[in-house]
Amino acid sequence: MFGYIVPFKPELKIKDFETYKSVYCGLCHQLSKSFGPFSRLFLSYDFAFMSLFFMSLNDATPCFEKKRCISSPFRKKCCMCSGPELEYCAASAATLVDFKNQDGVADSGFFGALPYRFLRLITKRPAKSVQRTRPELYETVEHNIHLQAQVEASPEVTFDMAAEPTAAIVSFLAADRARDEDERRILARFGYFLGRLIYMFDAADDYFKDKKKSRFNPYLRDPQYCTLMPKQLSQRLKESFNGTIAELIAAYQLLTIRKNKEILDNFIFLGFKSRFTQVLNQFEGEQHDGSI
Amino acid sequence: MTDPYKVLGVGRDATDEEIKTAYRNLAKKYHPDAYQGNPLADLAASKMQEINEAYDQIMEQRRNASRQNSTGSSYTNQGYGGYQGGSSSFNDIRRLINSGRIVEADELLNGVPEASRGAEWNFLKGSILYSKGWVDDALRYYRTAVEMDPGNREYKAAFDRLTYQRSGGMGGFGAQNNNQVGCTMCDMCSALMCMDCLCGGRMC
Repeated sequence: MFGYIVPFKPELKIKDFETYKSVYCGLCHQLSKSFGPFSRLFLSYDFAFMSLFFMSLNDATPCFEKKRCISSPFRKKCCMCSGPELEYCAASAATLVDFKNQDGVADSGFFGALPYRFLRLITKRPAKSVQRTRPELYETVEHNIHLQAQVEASPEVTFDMAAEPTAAIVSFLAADRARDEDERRILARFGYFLGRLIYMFDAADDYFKDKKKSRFNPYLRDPQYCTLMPKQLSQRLKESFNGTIAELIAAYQLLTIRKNKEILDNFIFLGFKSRFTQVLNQFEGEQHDGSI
Repeated sequence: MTDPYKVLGVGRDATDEEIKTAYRNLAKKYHPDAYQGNPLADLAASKMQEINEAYDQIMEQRRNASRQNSTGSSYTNQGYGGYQGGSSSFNDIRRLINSGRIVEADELLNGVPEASRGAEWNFLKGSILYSKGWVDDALRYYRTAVEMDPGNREYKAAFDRLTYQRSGGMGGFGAQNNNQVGCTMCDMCSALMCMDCLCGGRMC
């Protein structure tokens, strides 16, 4: 439901925040339209960002409408109309969530797998429908989820190796929306580092939980990180974050952003760092509730 | 023909100083050094050329309008054509990396026996990893290359660039505040670029 790709609210204009929220609402409605009401569970901040990002690459005038919302039953909310970018992100989200649930079933014991089996009742059909309508997307996600399992089972793992499958998925998703070869190359690299960033957020946020439950975490396996104390690890994570964001920005700068540039700039130059700071607070002893 | 003022992101009534500042800021972002080894380097070079042309066009127009001496010209692209030099045994690998054929380059590199894996091998391994996006691992190989051959400028430049990124030079934690007083790395860089374009064989 949540995710790590969030804006830095204090520096966001109200009109821009309203635009972003309407994309989030739009994605929720799109999920319901494409895959049924229960698929609203696939909603995440990460895919709301991807939808907004894709919309920003073209000149199409944004279209908004007032719609009812489960979370606000008495007041209609401003919502982005259905469109190709929202459809694409809804399909991607549905596919990813189903594979994550399959993973959950495979990795857990009988009782541990039950919640995932239950969720698969909701996620299986949407994913199958994406397999029919967007086979390349489905196969890329499938291939990389299996690759992830292989990497985690390898005797020697580095963070880069572990981040590769997630990075490759987001790279594919981004490049898939390109309209020419130059844009495809830039989007592929932008998507790669965005995916890598998402994986980094996940791995850092789950570090202590994974350590306690002896689950896979790249920072517990990579020789560069596994011997470090929390404070040193936090410093090293900042450096790795910086290295990743530098490459993300280098690619982002080469894109022609046609609208919503202030919102995207807020995410990229302020939002990511702010959210990562919150994640790193765990290494100093604090927790975050997961909201924007 | 694209509006040169739009390319530089300034209004038509911008002063010469504002135009120079806008040019400097853009040059810092798209300078070939910032994209050295990046698979998108050619696209950045096109962008840099567009910016240079816009700057030259505006300065030319203003010069003609006011009939005064040139106030300086754009930073010419010194043609950083990717990885050059090195021993002949690795030239094939360098050529493959330059043309984006990373998988083949990696296969060839992995075929080199352990005993022959010196500084250049480590540098090229780092470059391949950087191209793939494995920036953490790339740093380790660049570091080894520099340790094995401390005098080599190519290896040091690559290592320094990644280290600069990791310390917040291109954004993130420890990033330089725009309002910082005193000489930052950005001031050093832009001063060197300006000296280069004014004194690089043209006016001195």
